[in-house]
Amino acid sequence: MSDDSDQIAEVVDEVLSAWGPADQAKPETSLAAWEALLELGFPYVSLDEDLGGSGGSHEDAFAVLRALGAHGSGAPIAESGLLAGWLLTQAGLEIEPRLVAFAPPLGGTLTYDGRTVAGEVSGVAWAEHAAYLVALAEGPDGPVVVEVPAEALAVSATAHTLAGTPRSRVVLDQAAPARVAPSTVDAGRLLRRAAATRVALIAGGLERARDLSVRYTAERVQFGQPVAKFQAVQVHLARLAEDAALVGMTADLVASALDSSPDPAFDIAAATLVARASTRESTKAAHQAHGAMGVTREYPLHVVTRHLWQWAHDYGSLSLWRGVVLDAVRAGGADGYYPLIAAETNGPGR
Amino acid sequence: MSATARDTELTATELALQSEVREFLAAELPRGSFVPGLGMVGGRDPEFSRKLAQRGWLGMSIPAEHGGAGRSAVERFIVVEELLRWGAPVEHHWNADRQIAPILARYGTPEQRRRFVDPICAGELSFALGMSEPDAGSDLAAVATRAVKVERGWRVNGTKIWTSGAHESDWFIILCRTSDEEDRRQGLSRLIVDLHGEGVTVKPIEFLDGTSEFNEVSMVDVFVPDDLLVGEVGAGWSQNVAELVYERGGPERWLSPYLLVEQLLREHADGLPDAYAAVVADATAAWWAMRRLSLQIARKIDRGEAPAHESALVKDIGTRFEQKLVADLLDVAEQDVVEDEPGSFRGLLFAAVLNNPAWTLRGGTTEILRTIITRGLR
Repeated sequence: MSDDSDQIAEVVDEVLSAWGPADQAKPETSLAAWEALLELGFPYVSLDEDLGGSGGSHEDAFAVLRALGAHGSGAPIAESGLLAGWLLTQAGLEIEPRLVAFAPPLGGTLTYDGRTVAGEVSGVAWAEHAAYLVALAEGPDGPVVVEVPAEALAVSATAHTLAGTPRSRVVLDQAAPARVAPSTVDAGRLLRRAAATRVALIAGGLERARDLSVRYTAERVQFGQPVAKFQAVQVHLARLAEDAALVGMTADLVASALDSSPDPAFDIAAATLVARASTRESTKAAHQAHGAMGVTREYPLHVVTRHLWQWAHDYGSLSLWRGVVLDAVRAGGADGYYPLIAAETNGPGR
Repeated sequence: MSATARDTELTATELALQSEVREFLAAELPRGSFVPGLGMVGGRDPEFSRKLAQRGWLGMSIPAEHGGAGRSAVERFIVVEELLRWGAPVEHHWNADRQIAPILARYGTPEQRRRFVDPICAGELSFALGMSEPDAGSDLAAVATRAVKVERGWRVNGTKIWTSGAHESDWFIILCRTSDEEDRRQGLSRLIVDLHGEGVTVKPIEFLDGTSEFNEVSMVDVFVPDDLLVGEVGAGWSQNVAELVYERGGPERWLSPYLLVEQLLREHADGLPDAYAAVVADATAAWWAMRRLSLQIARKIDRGEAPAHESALVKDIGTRFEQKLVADLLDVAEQDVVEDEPGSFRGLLFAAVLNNPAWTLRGGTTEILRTIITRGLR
């Protein structure tokens, strides 16, 4: 990380440390953390300063997400800030610093007829708490970004995810947008960007799961010694160390790729596959290393692991991301296979 | 750009080297003209090793004043990566290039460097590594091979086992006990022993597939002159620990089954069957990530760091991945896996299935690595 992103991570960490692990899991904490981070401009890092963004690089934005990940925070920095904010700025619209709901790219199709928006989207985070919905819609001449006020939305079927955060179905029936502009990006690129945020969140979560496990197994004594001394337990700690290192690195690479290329599809897809496989194994390892303590409400492990399970589930199925990787593999064939693996993340050909 | 991205991007010079190696291999060993091997056991061809030497691709990261090419660890990484993914025959020079040359460059006398490093860099000498013994494997400090000081040298008695390539190598380096100390890691030294010398007997140990790569090497009253002691008496253990960084984090820890996937794509040029899709996608993503973690280690070595912890991590990640990939491919393979078609997908899979149990043993078992990794976490 650069000096800037190190500092950013420290400040975000400090802000989030105001809440203990037990509170971190509560929805109201996520909203309070959002407010605290909003005041400092953190939701809009890497976005155009001329349009209300906070500037900086994707590396800086990923530092924010990794700090959130490490706290198991549900503050919707990715959805309300990095994704909705980006959707607005790339269409030339100004960011208003406030909580908005973000329509996930696979949640459903919205159509814009030149006057009003119609359709239905599921899986919209914090929809009940947001003043506006920001979404990509199909317009008469291609994709548009719409911002629709809450009073024009029908929010229903609110359900709580693995991480305990609320998501709802939002129905739009001849809803007049407050703002609308042609979008330079399509749903595919928005989905890839959304998935990229998960790699960063997971990277932070895995580091925390590792640190908690290392600490706990060093303190917990059985058979007269810390359980970390047992090789059977070391298997779990090694796994956590490996996955945290691997996903941490892929998050760095994806951030750099986003800084240097508009849509690094292969890198994001590959990183997503790695992050999901690591989450699956490492959450299991962390819980096993903790014994019964790790499955209690009061101990902070679940705050992180529940988010990890959710983040690894968000934005596209495993087969979707495998498909993106395979498209690149098929395009290069046998002779292009190693060059694909070894291609410069920031280089040409991606 | 993040520090990680900077570390894992190649410079123009490095990319030019990569192209040069790719062109060399395509001309020297065109696909289909030879039976490719699986990673570092890709076959032995002294002539090929000498051709690499002529290009300056052996002893690459050894400083020029010590007889090497004075290139970087990253440049060596690039060459090794291309050789391994091509399935090139690297066994003749492998140990000499990866371990012996760096050891002697670091601890050797000018005379030893002249005698060994120069010919290693010329592809002339092959080395084996004499570490394990019948009663010392993971617990390497338990070595019982003993060297007693005699006039002008040492008298060595003991047995080394699992010594890969000893039957076809010129020399081997041994870890042996030169004194008894309270701490077993003290009192160990390293000697260079002539495998064709008097009192040395090399006996092959058949591998489960009938090949002979392993050996038992017994030494009875073998005389080793003073000038074949490496570095200081009693420094064997610390030398050994220091070089594990070079041995553990490289491409040979994740490229062993690479050719299975490339060959699979070659045999299905009209479209990869769906049965393989998930396995190939996951493997591609894993290689994309691991390669960069591994490359970063080389970059750190070039900066003068000693990333021992990261090297152990990469070796465990890499070898675990290698075995999972072989098992996954066996699960989805649509035809019988047979011995008789070397180089085809099913022939390579045959070799990989029978060989892969050793991938998590060679160079330090998974269990020992995890102990090292865990120690680094405190």
